[in-house]
Amino acid sequence: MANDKADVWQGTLALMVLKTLEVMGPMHGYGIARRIEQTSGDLLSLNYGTLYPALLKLEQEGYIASEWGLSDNNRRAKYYKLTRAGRKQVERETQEWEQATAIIARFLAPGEES
Amino acid sequence: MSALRARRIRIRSLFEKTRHERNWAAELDSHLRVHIEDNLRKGMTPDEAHRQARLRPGGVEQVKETCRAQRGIPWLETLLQDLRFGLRMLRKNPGFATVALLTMGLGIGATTAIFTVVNDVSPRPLDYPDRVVFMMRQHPQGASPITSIPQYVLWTQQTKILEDFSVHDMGGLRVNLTGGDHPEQLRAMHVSANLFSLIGTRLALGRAFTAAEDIPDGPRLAVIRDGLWRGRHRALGRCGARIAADSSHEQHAIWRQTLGPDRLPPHGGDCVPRCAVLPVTLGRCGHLGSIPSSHFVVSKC
Repeated sequence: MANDKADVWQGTLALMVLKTLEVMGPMHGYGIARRIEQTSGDLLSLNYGTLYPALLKLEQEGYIASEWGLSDNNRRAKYYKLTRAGRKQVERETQEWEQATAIIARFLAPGEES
Repeated sequence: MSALRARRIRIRSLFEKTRHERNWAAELDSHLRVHIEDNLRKGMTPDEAHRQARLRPGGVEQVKETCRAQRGIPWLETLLQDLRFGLRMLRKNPGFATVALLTMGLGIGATTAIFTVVNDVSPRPLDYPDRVVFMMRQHPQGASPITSIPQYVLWTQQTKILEDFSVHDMGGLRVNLTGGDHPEQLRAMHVSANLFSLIGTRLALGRAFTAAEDIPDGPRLAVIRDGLWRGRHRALGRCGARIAADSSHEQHAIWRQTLGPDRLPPHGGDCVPRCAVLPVTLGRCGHLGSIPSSHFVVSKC
């Protein structure tokens, strides 16, 4: 079953994580993975071998911050939240992605140019 | 900016490895627990919930490894590890360490010494070899580099093609070096004053004779080779000793210079380190025309 699902494409995960945190507020790693899979309509499969290095990188770059907290079931978990730099980065990357998809869309659309 | 920040954090994390490892193990653990609870909520049996949670993420060690690589600077860590290992091994085998260090020391020392010597003695090309020409005269009997001083003077005054023009003799002259504890006979050659600048020779000390000094009955000057100065500088002083072209003509004021064999004109190639270079007209003003001189020319056009 898991084989039907696509892995996350290179370079898209950071934006997915940032956007998820922007929408959902602070979340722990497992929550982020689940949420990304849900948002993708279960088309993506995200294992934590992919997720945690990405989280680490985003944290090193200062786009997210982490601290230990308690989960709904009173379990200790590390929560990630967006920083101010992260918010700006979401905006920037969103724009870039919109532009990129718009360009690709032009190629895929039936020829309209003269 | 963010890349810079990331690099700074990665370098810093090299020194906080254990803390990071502990932190990471705790996070992984909490991830598993949350996952198991989630599975239980979905109605799995506890065994199945555990199994699925462990199955899902792929190898735990693999994930740890990826995170380690992202956290620190892997090549630097490997290098430090190798260095530590190497030092440990050396400490364990002091005999081997000594031999290895000696071998390396000898190797480096020998290489340096050989390079220094070779670098010193190997001929260096002129600064502008493609602009230096050696002039020959065509006679009905054949070609010859021999000319006369009046001819040379005429050429320097009249030529417009060549930037500079210099002459020297064949270097057969013997002069006596007096002063110091013992006199010494030296080989010498006459050159025109501009030869030094023409072939780009830098003097190690003092100055060469000038054109104004390179005149009939001019001051008695000589430039000596660096090797000679080194060997006899105690006797010579900085520039005070004397070279006599013959017993009646003493040369005052000696300057040493670094004119190597390679820097001498072709016919002066046998001017060995113990030699002096005198102005071309020195002491021979009475019979200018009779000095056999080959001529040496540079063109900078």
